[in-house]
Amino acid sequence: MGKKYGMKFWATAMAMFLAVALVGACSTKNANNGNTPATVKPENSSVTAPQEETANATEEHVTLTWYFPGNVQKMTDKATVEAEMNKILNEKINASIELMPIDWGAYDQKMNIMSAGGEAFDLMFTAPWSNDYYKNAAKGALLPLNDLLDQYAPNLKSVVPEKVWEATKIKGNIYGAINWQIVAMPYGAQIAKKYVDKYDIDVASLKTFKDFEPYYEKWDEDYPAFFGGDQFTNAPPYYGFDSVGGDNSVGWVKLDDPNLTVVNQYASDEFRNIVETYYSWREKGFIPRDAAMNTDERKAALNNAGQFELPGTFSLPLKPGSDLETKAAYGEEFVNITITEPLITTNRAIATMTGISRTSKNPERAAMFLDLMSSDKELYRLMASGVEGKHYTKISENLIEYIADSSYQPNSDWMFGNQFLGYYTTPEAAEADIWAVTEKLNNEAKASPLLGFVFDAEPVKSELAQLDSVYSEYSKGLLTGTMNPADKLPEFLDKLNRAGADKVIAEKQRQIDEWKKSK
Amino acid sequence: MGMTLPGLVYLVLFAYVPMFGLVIAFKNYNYSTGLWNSPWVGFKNFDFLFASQDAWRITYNTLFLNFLFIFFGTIASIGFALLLNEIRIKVLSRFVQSTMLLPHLLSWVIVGYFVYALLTYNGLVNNILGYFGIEAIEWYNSPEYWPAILTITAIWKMLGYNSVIYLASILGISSDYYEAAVIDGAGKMQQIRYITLPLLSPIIIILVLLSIGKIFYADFGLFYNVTRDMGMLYSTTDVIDTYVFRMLRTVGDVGMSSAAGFYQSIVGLILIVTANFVVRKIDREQSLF
Amino acid sequence: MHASIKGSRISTVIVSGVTILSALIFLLPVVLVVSASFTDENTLTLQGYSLLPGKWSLEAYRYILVNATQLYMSYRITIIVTLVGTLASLFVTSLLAYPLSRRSFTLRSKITFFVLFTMLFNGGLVPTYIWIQQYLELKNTFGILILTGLLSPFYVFIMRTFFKTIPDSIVESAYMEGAGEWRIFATIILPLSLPSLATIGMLTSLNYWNDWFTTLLYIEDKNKISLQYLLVMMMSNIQAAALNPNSITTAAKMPAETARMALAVLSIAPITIVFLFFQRFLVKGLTVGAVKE
Repeated sequence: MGKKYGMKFWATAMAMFLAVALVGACSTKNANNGNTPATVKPENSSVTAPQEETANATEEHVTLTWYFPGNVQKMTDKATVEAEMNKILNEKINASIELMPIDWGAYDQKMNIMSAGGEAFDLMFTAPWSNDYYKNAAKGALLPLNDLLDQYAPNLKSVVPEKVWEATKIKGNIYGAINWQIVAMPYGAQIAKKYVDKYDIDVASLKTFKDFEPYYEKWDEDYPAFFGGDQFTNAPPYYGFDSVGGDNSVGWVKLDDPNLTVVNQYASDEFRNIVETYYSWREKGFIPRDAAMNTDERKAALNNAGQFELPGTFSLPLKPGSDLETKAAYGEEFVNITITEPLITTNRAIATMTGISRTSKNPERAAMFLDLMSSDKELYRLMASGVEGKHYTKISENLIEYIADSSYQPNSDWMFGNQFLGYYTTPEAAEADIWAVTEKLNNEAKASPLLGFVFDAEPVKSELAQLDSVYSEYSKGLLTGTMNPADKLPEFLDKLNRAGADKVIAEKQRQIDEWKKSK
Repeated sequence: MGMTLPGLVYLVLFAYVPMFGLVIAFKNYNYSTGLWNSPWVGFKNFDFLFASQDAWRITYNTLFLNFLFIFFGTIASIGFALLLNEIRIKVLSRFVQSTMLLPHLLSWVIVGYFVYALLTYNGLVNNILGYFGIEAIEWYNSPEYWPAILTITAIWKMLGYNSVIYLASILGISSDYYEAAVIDGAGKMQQIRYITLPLLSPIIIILVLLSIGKIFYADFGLFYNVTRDMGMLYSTTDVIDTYVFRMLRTVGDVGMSSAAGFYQSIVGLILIVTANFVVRKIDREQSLF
Repeated sequence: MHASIKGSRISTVIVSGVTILSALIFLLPVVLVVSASFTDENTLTLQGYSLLPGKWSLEAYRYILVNATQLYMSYRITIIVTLVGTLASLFVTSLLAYPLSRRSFTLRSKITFFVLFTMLFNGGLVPTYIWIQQYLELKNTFGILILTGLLSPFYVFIMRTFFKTIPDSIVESAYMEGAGEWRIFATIILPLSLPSLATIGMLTSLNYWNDWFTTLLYIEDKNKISLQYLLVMMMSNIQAAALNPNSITTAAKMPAETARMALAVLSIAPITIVFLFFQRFLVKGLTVGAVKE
């Protein structure tokens, strides 16, 4: 017994010792990792044509990895697409691309852990709403791109107007390459034509959400007219505001305020107005009693089943061609009512970007790749639509039809580069030349006065988290008329205050004032 | 004994080494400086838990609801195991055994749908109430019912799973005891009370002790999916895990999530050591350690 | 079910009644899920769940089975992982639990606490990931699918409790006859512990079957994607498509909710069949193992 005890004891002790020793090795390894950030030093400081730089930088063949969210099962044939893309890439920049799509449900988590774990890869999709752009920038997961873009991606740099690039800048650095698509969003509503006809809706007279009320009185279907839901935070411009930082977070600025004063949007008259009206609508039965439970998914399912709503709000983003899309989707005609002027706001401008990871071994080549994705029509179309014949059939120069259940159908061309290089999928869109229309809209649209200001959440991150929790607690209830605003609205505002609303507003104001001065 | 070696090595490799990473809870983790070189920030990452106005509410909810689950769940599981043990008809026992684990196999997402179908305003429960002339209740707008709703749902899902453990124990009890008891004239209830339950007590105590160690953790799937994250129900259903989840959905800070886990672990440790101490005083052999 | 508490006829009726009722309560949601998976999507949206499909449709399954090859690969890897993992886990767990149940083991108390501590404290996702990924280099391996979840302190304690019920006298007398530790373990302890081994085995295999998080973190290789991960992701992709305004045309006719139900069926069906089969085994094995003299 004594002998066995001894052996066992030493075995355990050794195991522990090993572990500690390994951990010790850990710290030295990590210390080294910390000291070698990938920095890019351009060889000449003067501006040179890309060709010359390329010659220097593309001596050896490299493989770039690109992570982005998507339906992996719908991209089983990515190998074919990669092969075709690589033909072009090999010739132009002596590189190959490896596409790494990650399922939507796993993307955020996976990129989070890969960045936190310091894994090496080159490109990743990032936006405020997916793989949080701000957080990645703050935590050092993304490389600053200013020089890289100027040197290796001049086409990309020039196709997106300078004022839009401003929207990406955090402390003067660009951390994401913008995927050029619609950025100037007008807001409005979409009504199924059959309702317009049935209820004699005078579309031209609909200006505010209250104008829908008389039609609700007339409503005759066997389901309530308005599904309800969060119509407030997803469309600040419609209410005359621009958001600062996240759309939900307390502190918006009125668009027509030259002083750029930050106010609590939930304490505004607009909000109170909406909440009270919706409450009365629910009492009258225009909004279903279980509206708070209606997820976007459920609404989509109801639409599929032929039930459409008469929206009591004009907060739907309406890009050119959206009515064509909904028509193709549901087989119903829709009427678009646009209420606001198109406006470029920060969140819209950076809604889709591709970033270069700090751990990338070939940032120059990655930047060149991004340049091609924004300028090479053939390359872009390969990525967005696949290979002709295998994944789609070409109908005319710019019009295609997707082959049903094909093995490559990412369906997210807005993620991959310059969307305006892509194909059209409906004849109406091709005829109307929607891309050109959209691009024109972008270039001519007004910019929000806050465009170019990026809020640094770090000093108030704890308060922001708590405020978001309070928001979650009350928003659905108030915005679907489920909660009685008479007592719940003051309660909501009170809780916001106790969670630090004033502190956040003050911090936002401080940062905005500083930014204004520096302009 | 060398036997324990594989298990222990495994634990060292997969549990203890990563534990060093708990330091993240006290640091402001920046990816470029890595784990060891990021700056220390003391307890700042714990702010959002303690300084929040909801801190008391989530703590109370977590403890209270878990207590309900442990209490009623244990009674129900033991009862059910005893019941299963009584079945004479083979077909019946096979039937119930086949169905018993089905709830555990269904994911909370799906269970959430069912509860929704039952409790929605035009759903089954309200329809039944209508037959009895009772006015429909807006379940998802009434936080007061939810401790009960959650407990029932949790028990439904775990009953089969937990009973299996108790049943295995009961099966291990030698039939001699029962035969002797019958000879002495004991009725069923007495047999259960004086033979089955006492012999089951080791496993009952262990399971309860382990549950106490986890009392600060909530089954996230249950709380998130069944309540459908309805803000209106937060006052009685918001627990530490759902609160932290919402926090981190916006902020997503690794340090903060680590801090939350750390907090739950420490409290669990204190509770389990205390509970074990109490058990030790009563009967040393039954204690966990 | 042989442990005999002898009783009267009335109790048999009550017992049977309650049992049937419980079984139905357990079964009902599953029936609704299966029924929903064979229902037409729009009918499900408008009419909700019912015992029989309101309008029969195989669309959900057709939609999912487009990925038949991947499904096959995932089923395969998950079955292998579950089998191998459960056996390995039972082995390691019982090896650890047994010495902890013997009073004569001097380090017992300390090791128990050592194990318990890991149940309470967890290093967190990021450190674990860095450790496994960079240092142990277990990314994309078959091994990692088995190793996460190999040893659960919870099950160690339950097994320990079961082992404790084996009287010391049996072990002592075996020692007297000159048997060594391992021999005693293999020939005496294990056979006597069939109920607990079967129980823990069943619960462990369930865990392996349902695990999807490991795949999310560490697996990129197509033929190692676990079944549950595939199904969870299929669902999240359907949801993302339904909400993505750009793919609205394709998303429109997608069987979203019915697909979710079909995915659930695909996930539960195999393991249910296995359990049904396994069950007969269980009963037989338990009657044999219960003899202790």
